[in-house]
Amino acid sequence: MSSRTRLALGSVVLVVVASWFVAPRLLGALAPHLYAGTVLQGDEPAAAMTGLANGAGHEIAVSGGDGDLVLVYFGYTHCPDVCPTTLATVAESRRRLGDDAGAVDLVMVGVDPGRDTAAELDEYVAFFDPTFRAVTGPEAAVAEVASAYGVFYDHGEADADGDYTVDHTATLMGIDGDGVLRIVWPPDISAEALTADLAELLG
Amino acid sequence: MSGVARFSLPAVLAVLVAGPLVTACGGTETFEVSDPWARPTAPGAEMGAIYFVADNDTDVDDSLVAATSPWCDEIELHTTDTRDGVMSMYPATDEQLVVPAGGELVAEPGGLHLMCVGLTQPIVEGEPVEVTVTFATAGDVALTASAEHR
Repeated sequence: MSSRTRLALGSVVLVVVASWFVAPRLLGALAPHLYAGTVLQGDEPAAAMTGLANGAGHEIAVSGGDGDLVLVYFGYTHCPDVCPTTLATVAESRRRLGDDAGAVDLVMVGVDPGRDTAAELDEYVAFFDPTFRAVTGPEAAVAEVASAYGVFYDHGEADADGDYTVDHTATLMGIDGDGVLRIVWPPDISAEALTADLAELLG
Repeated sequence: MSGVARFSLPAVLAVLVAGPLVTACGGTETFEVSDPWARPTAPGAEMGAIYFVADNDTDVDDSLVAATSPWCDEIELHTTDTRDGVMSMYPATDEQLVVPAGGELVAEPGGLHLMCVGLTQPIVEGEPVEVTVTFATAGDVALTASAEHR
């Protein structure tokens, strides 16, 4: 093979490889990202978690505007199906984000303070992802925070064993780096769709 | 229909190869429960959920009636319903437990699930959970559910 042929072949290979990497980025830059969640307009800071604390007794700021995305989820530990599914989905999305995962926090607000202590909630959420945090507090404080986030919850009637379920808004909410409630995802969001939205929000 | 069960070679091989697949032999060879799995539970959790798919290739509707497991004090057949983002959970209706002839019954997150009430031990990732599901016609089907995060 002459050196000229080799050069030509090499150039072709280089162009093909380069376009392989560049084309998707170019297309991605041209086509706007379609969010799987519902994007909210407005610039009011998200409500503070007033009167709620984690297991160590500390309040958690969700709208500190430190640049991190804070995902907020209202749930309870006796929830066998949907809550673990959503928490596992967020954990999986954080894994998929790799180095960017550090900029995504999750705070679960416990809506069953009668059964779940803040310490139990800490342990519960950490099982899914050690970075996850949780808060709860007196019934009245939980109700106030839930209402500020447009979250409905209602304790069902206890059965003979005293067990009850809690109907609750199971959407996942995202507070952006400016501390503004920016996006709401349905409970059955896939890890793939959530990861894509988070990556876009992180810019 | 002949009283002697006939197996084709590919079918026999499929059963041998598909470890987790369990074929119910309650009078038919074509009622099958597959992909049983359970989500690992957090320490101290009292509830868990187990999922599966039941395929009914017979001509008769069947129906899930009960489930038991050494991992659970009790298993309730529950379904989750989400309306306007609000999630409610309630005992499944008879209609929601039917495995229609020629169809399937899918237990999956956000829908029908075996709600394990009173976990006797945590469901640990990688450690299979034994569960027996009972159908009106197919009878008891013993399953080994894989414990995994999905």
